Amino acid sequence: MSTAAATSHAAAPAAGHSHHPNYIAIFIWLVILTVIEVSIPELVHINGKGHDRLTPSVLAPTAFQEEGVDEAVKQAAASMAPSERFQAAGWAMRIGVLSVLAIIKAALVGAFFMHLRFDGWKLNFILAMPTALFVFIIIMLAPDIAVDWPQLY
Amino acid sequence: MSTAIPHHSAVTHDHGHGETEPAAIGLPNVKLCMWLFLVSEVMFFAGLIGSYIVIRFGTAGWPNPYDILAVRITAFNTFLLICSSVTMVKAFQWSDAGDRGRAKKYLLATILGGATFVGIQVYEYRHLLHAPSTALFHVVEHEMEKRGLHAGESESHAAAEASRIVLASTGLSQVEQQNEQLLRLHEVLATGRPKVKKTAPPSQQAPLREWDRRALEETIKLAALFPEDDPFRAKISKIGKHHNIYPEGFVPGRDNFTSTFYIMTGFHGFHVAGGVVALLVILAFYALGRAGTMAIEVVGLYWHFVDLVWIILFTIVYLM
Repeated sequence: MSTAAATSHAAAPAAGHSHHPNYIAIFIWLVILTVIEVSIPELVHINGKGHDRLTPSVLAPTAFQEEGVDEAVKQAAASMAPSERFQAAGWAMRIGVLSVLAIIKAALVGAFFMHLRFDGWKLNFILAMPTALFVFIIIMLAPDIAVDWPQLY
Repeated sequence: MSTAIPHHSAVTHDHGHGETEPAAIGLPNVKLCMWLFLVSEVMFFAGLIGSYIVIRFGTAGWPNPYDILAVRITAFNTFLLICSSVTMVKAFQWSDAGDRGRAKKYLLATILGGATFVGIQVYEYRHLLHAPSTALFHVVEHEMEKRGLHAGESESHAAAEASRIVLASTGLSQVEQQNEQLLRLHEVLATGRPKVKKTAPPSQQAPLREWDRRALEETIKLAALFPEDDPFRAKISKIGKHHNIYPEGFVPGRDNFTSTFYIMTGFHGFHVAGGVVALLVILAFYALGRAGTMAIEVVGLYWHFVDLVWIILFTIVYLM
């Protein structure tokens, strides 16, 4: 997106003390990104059990007990048919692309609608703390996902 | 509050009707307070989303949300919330420019957008909690009446009889011939999945259509009244599990999926509803001349935050 387009002033109201970017341009970008986002699962529709190809439901329970999670996942990946590999890869890619799109949309709202881009670095610094903690929580909880897998059996 | 802080980074802000307020870190206090509130909100939703991710990836057989949730309606709701964010920021822009008339109109549009969002969410909840009876169920009811069976007198017997009507295809042959959907249901009941072309690879097998899903739900309800050791009941139960059917409705507490869905979207819905009330109050005060541009900007920050959170929630709950 062109920064110049996003920050150019809207035609009508010009007076006042605040910086007003071109909100309609931001809106159009948000709508375009939303359409792309919603289209992805429509286009790459993964039905039924294909949705959890790499979750423990398709892994051999004995592999967990004898060789651990990593080996079990490897075995499951090796035993997948080409179509199943495609599904698993599509699912992972879908999550990645959707995450990036959501972050871009959230950043657009924060930067332009909430004026974070224009309100100075001190405010951004205050907001950086909970944002960092947000990411930290996710990272710290991530091992629990792997730990829980074998216990499902 | 009439003395401005004599500091190079301190500024004073006009509220739109004359008064000024000392500023901290270059921002008016009221705006900074709203930001601090939003910081606590970030942590609140961080807890919810973090828990969701752990539960989601730690649960085997998580359903595909597309099979259960009304994604297209919710996508429209997302669009609506984005629109309301634009009207909110336009209200601020016009108020900042001194045009209070247009600012009020945009505020009203924002309120309508928010209220519609909540209304659609309530409709979605009602739909999920109380799925309407299907055409199949009405056919079964009709057959039961014809045979003099009344649910109140002998529910178990009547339901069992009704299920047998459906499953054995007895007494419904004419309807069956007229109704392609019924044939599809029998197909599902017989094989566990809809018929697909032999040449189609496994990845292209058709998912259940909405009607099949509802019909199967109703059949599972009826099958639940069979004796526990009845092989038919076990078969239906297995088929339902395979297709992530929720015969008792998509109720909170049924499983991890329903619980996290209602907690996350519910808390967000409360935030939107609260925002609508706050906007109504601000609009009333603004119309009376007792609130200015700063009030619109501050309530706008909250509104945009609610929009921002929904962008994340919609993606992880409905699309992933």
